Amino acid sequence: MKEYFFLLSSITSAMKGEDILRKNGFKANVFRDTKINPYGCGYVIKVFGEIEKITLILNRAGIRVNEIRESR
Amino acid sequence: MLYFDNAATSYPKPVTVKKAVEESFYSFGANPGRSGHKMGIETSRKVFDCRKKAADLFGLSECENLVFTKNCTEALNIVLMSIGAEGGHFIISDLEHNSVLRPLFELEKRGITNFSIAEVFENEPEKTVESFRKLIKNDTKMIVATGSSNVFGIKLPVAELAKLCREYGILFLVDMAQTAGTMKMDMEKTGVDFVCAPGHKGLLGPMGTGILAARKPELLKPHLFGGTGTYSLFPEQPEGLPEMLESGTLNVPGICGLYAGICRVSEEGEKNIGKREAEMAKLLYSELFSMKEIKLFTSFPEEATHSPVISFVIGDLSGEETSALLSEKGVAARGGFHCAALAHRKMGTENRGTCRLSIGYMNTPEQVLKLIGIIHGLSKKY
Repeated sequence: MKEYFFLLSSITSAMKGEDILRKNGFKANVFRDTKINPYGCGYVIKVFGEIEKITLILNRAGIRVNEIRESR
Repeated sequence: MLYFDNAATSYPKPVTVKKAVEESFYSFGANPGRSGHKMGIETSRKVFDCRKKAADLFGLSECENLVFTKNCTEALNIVLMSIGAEGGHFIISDLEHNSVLRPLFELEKRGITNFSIAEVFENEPEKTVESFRKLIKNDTKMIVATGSSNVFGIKLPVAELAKLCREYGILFLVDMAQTAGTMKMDMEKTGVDFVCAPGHKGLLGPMGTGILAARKPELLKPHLFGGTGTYSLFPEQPEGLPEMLESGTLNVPGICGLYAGICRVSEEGEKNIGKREAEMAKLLYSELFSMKEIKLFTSFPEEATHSPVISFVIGDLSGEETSALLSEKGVAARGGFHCAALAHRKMGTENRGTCRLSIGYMNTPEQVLKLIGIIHGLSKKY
């Protein structure tokens, strides 16, 4: 398992993503970094876990992810 | 003071609401959705919590489709101006507030849309639905109905009208100015497309808060353009709710208070609150009915058909004169025309208006009994 950055287009999407991932037992946190996320709002969800599971949860919640990056 | 003007705004607010507003200045003092510092993120999270709580309250599955506005009027304007922008026919009830009538009147004046007014039959929901049905035309886009008249408390058959709209493929907007917090709404279940509500009445939040809940967000257009915290380098207004409709800084203290208000409503349940208020309205109506100098305008306020709003006058006095007399005795009530020309015309009160007594969350049966005593005393003089 690795840590990923999910790049969102709005603060509401980021908060919704964080909320739903936490409810599913993931350690997720929103932060803002416009270098990491040049799209829209600069908000990023940092989450540790299996990328397939995380992506599925976010997709099911209708959260549009602009890009996923692996944390280094 | 005996406060019976809850249809204008609820007062007093619960202590939890006042504390939440105060706390916001210490803990949530940053601008949400703009910055990355700790308090900025925490404020954003608080706003999100309120958005989610409010969406849950109205049975809206996607919380991003719940938009914070400054009041119910703004929410109604966003929907009506968006849907009306491309023309078409609207149907409204003859009990609608000016916040529905005036935007549609303006659109008609500009030659963009036209609208018809359906008659509401007190205590006869089927006849009311038929009256809307008869006005449906090929180009009818939307039916707009208040949950309950802000002057006379007459409820509209919202669930049945939602069914009618589904049957004809028409959009349905419910103005919950008087029913949010006392009547359960499940937008997904009933198929209501848009709900507009004030945050400061039955939801017990501070003034300056309102809500627009949308099941068809793609139909809405921005009415205000500017900073959203998103796509800052582009001149175009970003798409997507809620940010598209929330340009500029949000009313965070108001939203924090609204969150506390909605929590209170959720804990107690709209049905329980509605029932409690209805009992007080029944007591008040019964006593007023027994005073021969009092003129009432509606039938007995059963909970299923009426919200706890009672319009009356004493003798030949106008609504304003009646409310002025009450004010002298320490009672807060609203006289006049209540921003509801249609409703007053319907009920034949457009000349002298009415005095409106509206019961709210913080009222008690003891207060109602005191009020009855005061009106009884005044009525003997006229």
